[in-house]
Amino acid sequence: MTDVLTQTRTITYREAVREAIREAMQQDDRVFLMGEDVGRYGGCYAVSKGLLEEFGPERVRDTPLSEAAFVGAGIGAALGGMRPIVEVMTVNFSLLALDQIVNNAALYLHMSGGQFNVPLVIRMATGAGRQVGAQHSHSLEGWYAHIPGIRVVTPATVEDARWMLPTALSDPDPVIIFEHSGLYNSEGELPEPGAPVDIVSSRVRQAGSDVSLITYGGSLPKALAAAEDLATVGVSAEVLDLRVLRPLDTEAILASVGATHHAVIIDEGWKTAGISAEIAACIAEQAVWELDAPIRRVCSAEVPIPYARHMEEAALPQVSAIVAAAREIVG
Amino acid sequence: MIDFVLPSLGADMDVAKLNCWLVKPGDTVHKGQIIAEVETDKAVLEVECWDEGVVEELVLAPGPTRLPVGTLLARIRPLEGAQPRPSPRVPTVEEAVTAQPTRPAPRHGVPSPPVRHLAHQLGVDTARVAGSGPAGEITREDVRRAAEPVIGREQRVKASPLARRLARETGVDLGIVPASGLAGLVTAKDVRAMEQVTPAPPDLPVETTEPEGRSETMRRAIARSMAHSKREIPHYYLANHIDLDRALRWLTAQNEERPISGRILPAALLLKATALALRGTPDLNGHWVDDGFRPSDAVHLGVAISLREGGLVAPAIHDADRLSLEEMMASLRDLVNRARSWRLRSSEMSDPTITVTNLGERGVETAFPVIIPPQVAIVGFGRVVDMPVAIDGQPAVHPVVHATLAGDHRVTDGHRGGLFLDALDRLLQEPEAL
Amino acid sequence: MNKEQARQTIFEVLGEIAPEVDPATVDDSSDLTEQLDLDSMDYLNWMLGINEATGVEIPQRDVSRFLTIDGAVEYLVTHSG
Repeated sequence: MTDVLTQTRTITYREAVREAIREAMQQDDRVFLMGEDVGRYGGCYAVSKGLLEEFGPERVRDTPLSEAAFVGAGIGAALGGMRPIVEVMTVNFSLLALDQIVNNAALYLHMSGGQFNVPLVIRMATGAGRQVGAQHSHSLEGWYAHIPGIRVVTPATVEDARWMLPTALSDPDPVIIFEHSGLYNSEGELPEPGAPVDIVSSRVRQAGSDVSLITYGGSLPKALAAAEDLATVGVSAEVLDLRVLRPLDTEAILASVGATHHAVIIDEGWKTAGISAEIAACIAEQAVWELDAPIRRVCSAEVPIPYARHMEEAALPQVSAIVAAAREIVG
Repeated sequence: MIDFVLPSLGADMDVAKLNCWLVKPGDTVHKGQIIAEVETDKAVLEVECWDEGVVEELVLAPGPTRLPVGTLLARIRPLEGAQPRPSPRVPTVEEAVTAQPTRPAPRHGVPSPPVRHLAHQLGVDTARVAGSGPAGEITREDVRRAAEPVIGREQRVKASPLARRLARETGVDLGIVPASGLAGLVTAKDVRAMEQVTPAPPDLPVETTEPEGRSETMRRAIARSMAHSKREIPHYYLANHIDLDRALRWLTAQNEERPISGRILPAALLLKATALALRGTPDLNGHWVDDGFRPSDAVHLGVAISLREGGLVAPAIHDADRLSLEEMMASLRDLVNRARSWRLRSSEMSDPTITVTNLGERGVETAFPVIIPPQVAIVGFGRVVDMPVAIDGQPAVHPVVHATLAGDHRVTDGHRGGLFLDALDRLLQEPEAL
Repeated sequence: MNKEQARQTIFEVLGEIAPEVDPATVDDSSDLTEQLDLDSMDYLNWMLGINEATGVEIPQRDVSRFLTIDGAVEYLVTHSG
């Protein structure tokens, strides 16, 4: 739906990703999409619906049920000069390709002495919230952010979903794009005409002065809702969307905490040794003299994510927990 | 006694009706036994009991009311030796309505056994600890904080990093800043508030590269405080001679009976009398906060103690009006010793409701002390001097002390101050009642 | 206890109360309150310390003997075993 007067367009996150893939394939013959059910089925989350019909089976490739095989094939294709977009259905299944990603894709540049780049883009759905059981509900982007040699991005808005992909494809080194499955149906305004966005910096989605709510991906809507709630009790919350987990935009994190002096980190991964711990460490290392209260982290409970809805809700970070954490430290 | 509450019997079950009881008071129940029938929107369900015991009371009768999950339904007395499951505590309506997450005013609550044990281990008197838990409950954190020494050891003050930085930059002594943050944390706001009370002089260097001695830091803090006091507080002064003949004779006789470890100094007598005299003039006992006087229920007597390296602290003896003379002496001795070895507690620094200075030592005859903000009065005692007095028209020479009161004229006037000094005199004429 | 022992004990206890004092600078025969800036609490603590170290009880009426070092030494020598 196009609004000619204001030059924005309402679009779902899913549609934005689809458009991004389509445009990339239209503009560059080296780009192709590969993954389980991306072709005939149109993608597990319907992201690639219609693309097989448009581009044919050579460029929209259904793969066998072996992540190790098709991620490896993607690495090979990238080494051979292609620009593959490998879709791993969810981060849960990427564990079967962990060796390919961590020991091959991430390391070839280093181990070849700079001779071989692996310009691979892997897209994965991540996160929980729809009662799909413990094995299908992980948020492991924090794990991937631990690995030198890959870039980890987490688009949370439709603009980032639409425009991070071309930048990722132009990166000579591996980029993993995490799409929170709960965001696919979300709608947002897309500026027209758009342009590729950077995959380096974070963004202040809402400015505030009392507390920094630092988050990414599927937790961004919760942080924004919490900021609204906090405003009603006189607490001005700043919401920082990290957008990139590796490398972290530490400058922006420190600037935000330097202004608000209170930090709450929201991460759907588990608290222990998660990306929230890395962010807290950065703040403690480099901005400790700005902190007027302890850092707080709102993460998933230290349990396998439950299947029953009320239990899953209790395990995942919720708006009320974010609000409570902020109020506790702001006082 | 075990509380049997309405359990949640389904994912989206919030309420249920109590259809019927399958037991009556006096029945023995076993783990797993079905004892009631409830009805949700979806089904009639049997409810099991998970404890062994005897039904004491069926709190609610069956009826059409839809009860929320967690409602107390019955009470079961556990069998001898049976281990009851800890039952969830159902808050009463009053509690739920009045529960407030704001910081409570310092109150004395009864601490739980583990907290009492910790207090015993750390040597903390819980009667002197302000509770920061719900309803003024004393928490472990409160006990730990009370056990922490404060003056001269900045690391032991619980202050946020930002507060520390601000305190360093502006020269505020963290040890005397009252804390308002989470679990007794001194925050930037607290340091800034302290600065307003004792604003830094404009030529204060922002960063000192050399670590400053405790004395210098203290001197600066005193300087700021005294300058502020004289600037902001309209002082009036009253003085009185108090004949201490009876009091000192009585004290000497008392001390002759006591071993040296139990001796009582005249200072303790003067402090006790001061604390009691305040009862008649509560408008001398409290704080000036936000353009108004806040009287204090308790009398926390600040005692000015000079330190050997120079400097002065005036920490509080808590509830001085309720201490016996022996307790006052013990408190005084303990306080002086800890003050001189830099081991005071933050509550002692922040709590005085009035201060007493110059406790009859060598030196001047009459003291004209300066009120320590945010207090509203200060009492001074000069040197005890033998002076001629008239007793029944005949001259005699008695030990006499000049007692002075400086008062904040925004709160009290000479009349009120005079009443206090009169009361003080009268109390010191009957030392055995002190 | 002899004079030397008494002196040592006295100065040891004094050292805890007024740690900055150098025993060599103290005039044994003149008033300690003036010399060392001791107040009544310091005195009490000093005598209590001596009492604890030596077991010698100091009744109220004898307190005035402790105004000088000489007085304190003499008292201890006479009253100790």
